[in-house]
Amino acid sequence: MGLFDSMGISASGLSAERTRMDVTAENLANAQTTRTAAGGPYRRKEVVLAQEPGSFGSTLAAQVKVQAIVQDGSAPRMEYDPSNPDADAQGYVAMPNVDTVAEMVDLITEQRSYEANTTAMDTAKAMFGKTLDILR
Amino acid sequence: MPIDPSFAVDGAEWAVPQVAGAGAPAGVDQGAATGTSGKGFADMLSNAITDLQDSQTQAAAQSQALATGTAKDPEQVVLAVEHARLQMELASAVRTKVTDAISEVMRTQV
Repeated sequence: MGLFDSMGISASGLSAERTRMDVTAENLANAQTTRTAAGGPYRRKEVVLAQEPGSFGSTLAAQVKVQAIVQDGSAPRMEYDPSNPDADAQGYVAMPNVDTVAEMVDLITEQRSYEANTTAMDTAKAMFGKTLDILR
Repeated sequence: MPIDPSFAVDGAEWAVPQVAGAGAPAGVDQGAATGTSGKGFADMLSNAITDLQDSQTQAAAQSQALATGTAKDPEQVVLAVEHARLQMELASAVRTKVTDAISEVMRTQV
């Protein structure tokens, strides 16, 4: 295991959390979007994280990577709004299946996970610095 | 019990196959290493310096990418810069140790 493996792993965690943050931001921004290129309202997206084998095979030095960004398949929220141009014959509009409150909770989780990864990275750095101090 | 400076001989950054496994600090076991593989302290040093140079170049390139807005992954930039900084610190600590040793030898009374 190399010197900088732990820092590399932390960096991969930071990247993953940042991607999750991007996706959550997209979900929040599109919470009211009723038109998409694929047709219909915006569908909530979710990040799938996977373990990436490191230099030591399957478990040791394993980094995290974003494997896929998938759509939440749950049904769109039907809202009664006859004046909306996207309303159907009954006056209902298909709104995105985004729960703003749940997204905010996700946002907090991502922020804290990001902080945890930076702390791990800082600690690894400090440990290496302490090792160097032996030489001095 | 043999001294095992794992940070110096085990890490990929400081991979020194020609003296690894000797169980002694790199360079001290120069005679045996020279006998077995034909490479010694000078090669190890030049490997380490090449490695250091690489990481510095990498850090500079990544920083430039960040500054010009082409960097996609700021975490990788931070990692490269920290990597380069720590490696430079290690190199300078080793350098100080070596120059200290040389001046110690120079001061020897004969």
